[in-house]
Amino acid sequence: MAKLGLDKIIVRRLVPEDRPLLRLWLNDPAVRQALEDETLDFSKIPETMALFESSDPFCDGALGLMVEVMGRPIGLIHFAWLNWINRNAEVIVLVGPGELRHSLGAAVVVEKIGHVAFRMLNLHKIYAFVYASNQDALSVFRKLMTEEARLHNYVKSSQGYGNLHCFGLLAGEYFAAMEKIKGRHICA
Amino acid sequence: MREGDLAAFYRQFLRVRAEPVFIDIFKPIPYQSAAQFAEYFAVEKRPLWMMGRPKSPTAYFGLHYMLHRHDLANLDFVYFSAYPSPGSDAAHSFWRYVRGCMVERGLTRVQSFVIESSVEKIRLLESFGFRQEGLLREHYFHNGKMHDIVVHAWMAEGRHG
Repeated sequence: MAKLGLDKIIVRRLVPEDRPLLRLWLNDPAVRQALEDETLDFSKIPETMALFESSDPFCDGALGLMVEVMGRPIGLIHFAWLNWINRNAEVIVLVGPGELRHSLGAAVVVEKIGHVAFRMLNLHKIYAFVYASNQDALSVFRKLMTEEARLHNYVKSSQGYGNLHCFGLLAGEYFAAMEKIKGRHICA
Repeated sequence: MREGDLAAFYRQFLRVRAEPVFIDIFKPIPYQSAAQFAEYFAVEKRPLWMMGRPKSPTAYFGLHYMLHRHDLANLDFVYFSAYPSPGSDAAHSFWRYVRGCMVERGLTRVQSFVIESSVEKIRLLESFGFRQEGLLREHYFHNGKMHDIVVHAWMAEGRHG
């Protein structure tokens, strides 16, 4: 694991001190274009921040987390629609620094999502929706998750209609992938 | 729907279909009570229609997660006994009515999430012109095991690429 530096990455709950940075990320036009969810209301940023800080996965069915690399926050993970019967959740991912969105940084954030979802919350599956226009996210998710559905002409914009891609990752797939990475490092 | 109608409807609902009756990725378990059912649908974003007579309803359908900015919604419907055969008069009139409700709301796309084993319902959807757009693997837990959910969508003519 040392090669990827995963041990230097932590995931923690959001605190009020994160608000200025989160506000900055959420105000990025590229982020606004790519994120759309009932739980992320851009017209009510303070309420959205409060939701992230207080979210209780067992009562609210949501959980907001910050990913940090050596003390530098690089991403927000939001588990929404947590369903404890089906043991699944929708994941909304925001990689803050623009230069990390199509790099290993984004893959690391996705790995951390798996860690929280499957090792800590004991979920069976996570899924994510990505707009076709968000090419950076698509390339990352295609490598790490399975595309399960493509909702045609789902998004309406001034340019016309765009597709929405649905990705899923099962706990078994996550553990198998982690074993593979671990094995590679042992052999190297 | 009046309160009395709902209770009658729900009793039938439980008696006739012990199987999962409401398959939706957002609310994937049968409601525990009529009150819960009514509460879920008692918002503008999730209108509900009952089909048939109030004392002997045959089906319901609902629109969920209505996103007006994208002119779309999730469609769910349940027939309490058997689903009508594709191409039958009952199927035609049902779909005509559903489409009317969609047109009224300016919806040009609806998607439906159905458990894979619900073959009758999937056949009916496909006969209405719904196309399969994907399969959500191991997405729904029922009777001690995980089930796949099939995603279908219908789009108005002007919306096709």
